[in-house]
Amino acid sequence: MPSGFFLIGYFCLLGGTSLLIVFRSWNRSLSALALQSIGLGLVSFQITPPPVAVAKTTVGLFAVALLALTLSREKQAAGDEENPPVQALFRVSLLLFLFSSIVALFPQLTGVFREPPAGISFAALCLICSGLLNLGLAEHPLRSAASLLTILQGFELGYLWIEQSLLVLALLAVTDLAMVLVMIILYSHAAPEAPAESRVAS
Amino acid sequence: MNAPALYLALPIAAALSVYFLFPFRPRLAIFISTVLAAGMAWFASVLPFDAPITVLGHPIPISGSLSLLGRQFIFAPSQRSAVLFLFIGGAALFGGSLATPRNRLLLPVGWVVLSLFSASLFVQPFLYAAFFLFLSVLFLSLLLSDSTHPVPRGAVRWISYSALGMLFLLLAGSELSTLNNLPKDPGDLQLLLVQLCLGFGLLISFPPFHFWLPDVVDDSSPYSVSFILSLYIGSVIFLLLRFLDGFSWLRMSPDVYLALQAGGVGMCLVGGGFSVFQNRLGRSVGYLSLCNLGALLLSLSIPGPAGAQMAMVILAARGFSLLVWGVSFHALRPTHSGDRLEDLRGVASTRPLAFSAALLSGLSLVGAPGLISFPPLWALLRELAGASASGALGLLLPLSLLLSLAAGVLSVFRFARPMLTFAVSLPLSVEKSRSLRAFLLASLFLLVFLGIFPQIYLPLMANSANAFVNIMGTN
Repeated sequence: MPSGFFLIGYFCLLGGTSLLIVFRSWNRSLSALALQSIGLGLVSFQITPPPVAVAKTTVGLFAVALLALTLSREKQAAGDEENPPVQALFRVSLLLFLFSSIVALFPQLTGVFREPPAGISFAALCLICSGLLNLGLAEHPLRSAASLLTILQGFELGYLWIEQSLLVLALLAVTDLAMVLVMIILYSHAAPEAPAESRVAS
Repeated sequence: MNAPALYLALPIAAALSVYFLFPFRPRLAIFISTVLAAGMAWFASVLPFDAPITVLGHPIPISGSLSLLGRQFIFAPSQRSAVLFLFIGGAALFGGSLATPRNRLLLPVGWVVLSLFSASLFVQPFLYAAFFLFLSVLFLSLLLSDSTHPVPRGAVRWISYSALGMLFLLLAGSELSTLNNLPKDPGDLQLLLVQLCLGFGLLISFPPFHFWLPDVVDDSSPYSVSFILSLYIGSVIFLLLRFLDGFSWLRMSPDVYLALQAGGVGMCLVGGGFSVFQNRLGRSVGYLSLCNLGALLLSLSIPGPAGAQMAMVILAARGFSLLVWGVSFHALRPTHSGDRLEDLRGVASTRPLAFSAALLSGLSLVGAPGLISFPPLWALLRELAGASASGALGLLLPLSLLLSLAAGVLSVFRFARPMLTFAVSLPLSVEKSRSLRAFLLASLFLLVFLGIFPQIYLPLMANSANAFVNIMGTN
């Protein structure tokens, strides 16, 4: 795998996960999640056979498509949150703090996944930590789904170094998709309540 | 015939069948599910692994191993009791749904979850059970939110905590599988213990990871909640025991038992403390279930067969108490009224059986004397009192159990008082539904009868621990 692809993958993965935290509109968030999934596939080429990496990207993109389809049926920007510049700057500052913390603690954290290549380890930790941060910031069930997907993708990237059996790969893919589907179903039960809540809030 | 395939595939087929049958014949679907689950439990107990079974004169060999995507699913003879335990629990929960409002998803989700729990018992290496437990969380969370319970906040939190729990267990498992002996480096041991504690803590909702529980008992169907708190927690405890059973050095490490003791004491104190100050009955019983979980952890902190056997008995009694609570709470809290202290004023006169059942099941969760949970908790108390002189936490172990019992009694008394306030406008009556009346009467009888005559169920439930051959072999 040429290192150029790896660098592009790295750029997509870190860019996607950062933008997912900064953006609060669904169109941009889903684009960021798609970018992150493409990056995940390109980065994981370094440690897995191409079909596995392609499968990882496909599962991520499929999850994005499911989320997009659900939101498009609402015929409104459901879950879009106001994102004034101050809040966006706050999230950027959190991201900077997060990345600097990972860089500072990186030597101690590489053992978590039994010493994979440094690039893989760093990317996995960035995904997990940014997913956790986003999960803490998320109020909307579908945004929680996107955050959990980020955490799971980060874990999968590191876990690929430890375990590549077919059953585990299949279970990880099923877990990702089932989690997104269940969150969509839970959201669909709550969706009729949303306008009423927003009216009360306003 | 392949035994693991049967226990993985038949529940899925049953789930599909009852999903389509339920809208037309709900009682028939419930009846079929109950009988089939009980039949599968019985079959697990008599399944011959060393000889073929004869059906219509044809010998059919039994295979205990299934290869799927490069990994093995093995139904070992020692696992009979665990499968029996699981499917009897499933049958009881399916049967109990006859006395609750109809929910089309309950039976199919129950069947899928039974299949996933079976997979978590059979899969090799067993650390992959974490995947199946997380998948079961995803399916079970579908029961927590529907058109009548539209707020998914608790379910989303539960999924989030469980996902993180799964990741910690997989990490710990991958680390454990490379170590055959006690790690020499104390740092390695501490890291492993932290991963295991976090993983199981997240899965069993150890405080502060229990915040999904109040939301769920407030916003979801009580019967679904009892389904989760009994069957799902049971499966997590099975996985914990498999970890202890699978790694000898883990079983021998005193730090593991200290962590279990600290966890048990913490859950008893937090559950008991919070339950006293709740103004909603559901939340209060939710916290009492935490106390019960604390007692379970304390029983696991006793090394050797006694601890595992006590844990199995406490699990069974917990499952039955929660099943009764789920049904009685449904009857006490109809869809549109709340479960605050003021909402429950006088319900003892309109729903006396549900009131009594809710009260006794709440008391049973903390091991009140004369009820089904009392005998195992009394045995645990005696063990802890005997061991407390030498243990690191000393008298705190039995004391925390007693404090949780006192808190549970106080909490139940707080709710019983307004319920027993009879108003002139509320005439004395009984529950209208015949199946509900029958269920509540039977469960009231069993809660007390099995508490007085524990010898009827104790040996059977204690034998479930035979699934953990290494633990049962140690003295």
